[in-house]
Amino acid sequence: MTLELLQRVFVLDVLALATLGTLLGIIFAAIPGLNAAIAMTLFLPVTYGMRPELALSFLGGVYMGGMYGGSITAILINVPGCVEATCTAYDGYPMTLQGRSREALYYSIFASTFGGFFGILALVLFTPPLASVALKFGPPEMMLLGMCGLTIIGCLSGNNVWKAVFMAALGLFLATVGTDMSSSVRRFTFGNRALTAGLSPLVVALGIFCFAEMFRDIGMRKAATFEYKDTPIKPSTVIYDILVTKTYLFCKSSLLGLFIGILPGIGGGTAVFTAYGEAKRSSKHPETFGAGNPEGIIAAESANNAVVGGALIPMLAIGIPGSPGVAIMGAALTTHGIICGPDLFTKRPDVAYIFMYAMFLTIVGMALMGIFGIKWFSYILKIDMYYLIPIVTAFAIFGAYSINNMVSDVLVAAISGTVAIVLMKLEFPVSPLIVGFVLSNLIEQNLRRTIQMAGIKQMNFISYLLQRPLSLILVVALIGLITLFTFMNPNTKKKLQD
Amino acid sequence: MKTNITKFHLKLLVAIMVMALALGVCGIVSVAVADEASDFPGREVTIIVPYDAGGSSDMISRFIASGLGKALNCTVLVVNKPGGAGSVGMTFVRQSKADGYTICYISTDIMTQKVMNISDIVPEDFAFIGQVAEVPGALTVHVDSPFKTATEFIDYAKKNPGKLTVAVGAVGGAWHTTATVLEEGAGVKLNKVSFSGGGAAAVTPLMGKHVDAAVNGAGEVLSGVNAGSLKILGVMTEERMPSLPDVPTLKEQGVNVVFGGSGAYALPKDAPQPIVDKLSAALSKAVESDEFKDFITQRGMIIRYRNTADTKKAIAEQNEVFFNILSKIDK
Repeated sequence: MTLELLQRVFVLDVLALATLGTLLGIIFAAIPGLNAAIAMTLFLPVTYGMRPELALSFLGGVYMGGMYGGSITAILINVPGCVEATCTAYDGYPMTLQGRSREALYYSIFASTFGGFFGILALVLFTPPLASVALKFGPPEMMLLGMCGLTIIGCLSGNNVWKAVFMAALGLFLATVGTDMSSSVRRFTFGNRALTAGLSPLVVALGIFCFAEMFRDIGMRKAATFEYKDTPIKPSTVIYDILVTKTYLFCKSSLLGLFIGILPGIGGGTAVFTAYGEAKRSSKHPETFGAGNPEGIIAAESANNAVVGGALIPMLAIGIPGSPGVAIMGAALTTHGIICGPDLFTKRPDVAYIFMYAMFLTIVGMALMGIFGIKWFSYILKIDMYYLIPIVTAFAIFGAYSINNMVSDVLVAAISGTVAIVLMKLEFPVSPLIVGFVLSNLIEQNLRRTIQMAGIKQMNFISYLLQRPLSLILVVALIGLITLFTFMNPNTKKKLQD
Repeated sequence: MKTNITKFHLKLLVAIMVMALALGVCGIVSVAVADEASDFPGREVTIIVPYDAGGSSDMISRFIASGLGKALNCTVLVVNKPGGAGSVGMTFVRQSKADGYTICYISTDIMTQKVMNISDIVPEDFAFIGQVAEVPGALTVHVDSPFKTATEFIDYAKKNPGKLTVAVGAVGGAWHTTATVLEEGAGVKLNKVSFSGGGAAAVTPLMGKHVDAAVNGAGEVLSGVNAGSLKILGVMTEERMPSLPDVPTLKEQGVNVVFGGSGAYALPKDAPQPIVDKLSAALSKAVESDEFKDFITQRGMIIRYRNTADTKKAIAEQNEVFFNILSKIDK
């Protein structure tokens, strides 16, 4: 069976489409404002005519490549191509400034490759048990997990922790604008219809990272203000470092990415924030994070590619997509008369297995493209800024519009970019704002569900949390994380000021 | 050198102008031809789906597009214009020319637009061609649940008002409203926990046994039912669904609730009647195709063909139910 299936994987059309998908994913993710989910929606109609295993391999490639591509622009010009690459910029861009862009790109592609491999391996081997663990996460656990993610602001604090806390709170607040899902009350919309749908985290992140960075660079000649010279580095050194020297860090980050990917409704952003925060917390030299420590890249990139395998697990096991991207793959299957979930294994096991094997192919394809592309990616640094700024801004405007097809979103992105520049000038760190923004909905909606559920059991909120075993563990973890970050902070103060 | 560039530019400009003129002439000719209803369709017809590619609205429309294309003997395209709970696409069609070449897919969302202040779109803005599908609501529990029938569930809920948790979609959305219809119809008080992300998002907490039941589309719980972890207590249809012959309706269990989402097609309201009739006839043929039937059955929906007049009537009736429930919600 396996051999026969493998023969059906290594055929020209599977190989070609998986590779093409990966390439498209990398390109879409590298362009600020576009991401894997947008690419998958765009190309979904193209897959309607393909055989189901081809459609899945193609979309899987887009998804996998999409988790890596954002890191290229994050490292080279400090513009994360998508939210999942946010943390990669923290250490990647400082490395570029130090003339180590090639090294940073090697770390990013290898961490992505191994992280992706980790995720797909878990998908192939442990789908049923992992899916059942994911179901144990109810609203209280989801809320606590979001709060654990919030603790990352403790390590993004820059020179003043209160400024970071303020920015995170601002992010938490801004995400509440719009129609509240649990009560349909419109909050802070001032009667403006464009605000009824709320502010999209993608749009605000685009404004803060892309518009702000481009506006700030106006007047600069080159992306990096150094004479372009790059320290040569052997890929084998990087591979050795990730897999042998930093095995623990790599496994931990991949595991976090995998697990957060499995939980439906929590995106790659949360995975990356949690993994980066954890890497910094457990590092012997936390002060070097944010100043060009490759460990930051390893954590962020292995986590976001491990998300892919994770998000596919509940889809294949119980028919619940772990992320919007995977939901699109489910849609592709439905047009072929296959309902995602256990049905897939009973009715069309060939499709399921060919797809899983093809996912390994997309990883290999991504690795090759990433490794051989590094030489070409670096040319972006040689482009004069007066070409780069208009091009990136044009893409960003297009991207902001394409997220919801709303012109008002472009305005929101431009305004958040402008506000972000003012905040940066006042030395407020902007990343905590995005962390707060991305996690706000997850925490708030689940907090309210938890209160509602506790009310039915006639318990108070705290005792309800403590009597659920899993949420008790998370409460302890949360307290632990806060304590650790509080003690760690004097060290972080010195560094991270860019 | 400089004169060369100018010359080249001039040539380019002339070429563009000639092309534009040619296109313009073509446009006038085709519009002139298309004005006559008897010649409809003289060119390709576009179905605007106000949702993302891949959703059930999109897929219904792709099957219908191929059926319409065969019946009308022309190309029918599907274009997705998602955003704002369907308002972006619906506004686009409302403003486009009422010549029959731009068709809009209309879902239950049209009934919530005005009352939820999403947009000012109302059903009266459209001339309905017909309805093709119905997305029946269902009351579902986990297989480990103590409730084996809808009667048991409702009896318990009557004795313990507000004690049973039911996962639904966002407030103001179709499934939250359906749950309210169920509460009013059965005379019970449930504790509705809303999960943003629509009915599909309500499946996860039910599978993890964090809630007692879920009210959402029968299709959304189908894969859980097939996997043996969920059980539908009752579907909200008049008769049992052809795809789920073993699942009783709520009605036959004494809970008189019949409710579900709808999938229909419409033109802008000023569309000439002959064109509406022509499209309506084509639509009645499109729902007959085997691929469409298979797809609808597999997705836990029902084929519900309604002609122009019936669609208008059904949507108006449901609109009133939505209005009455939603205008009571504190916004």
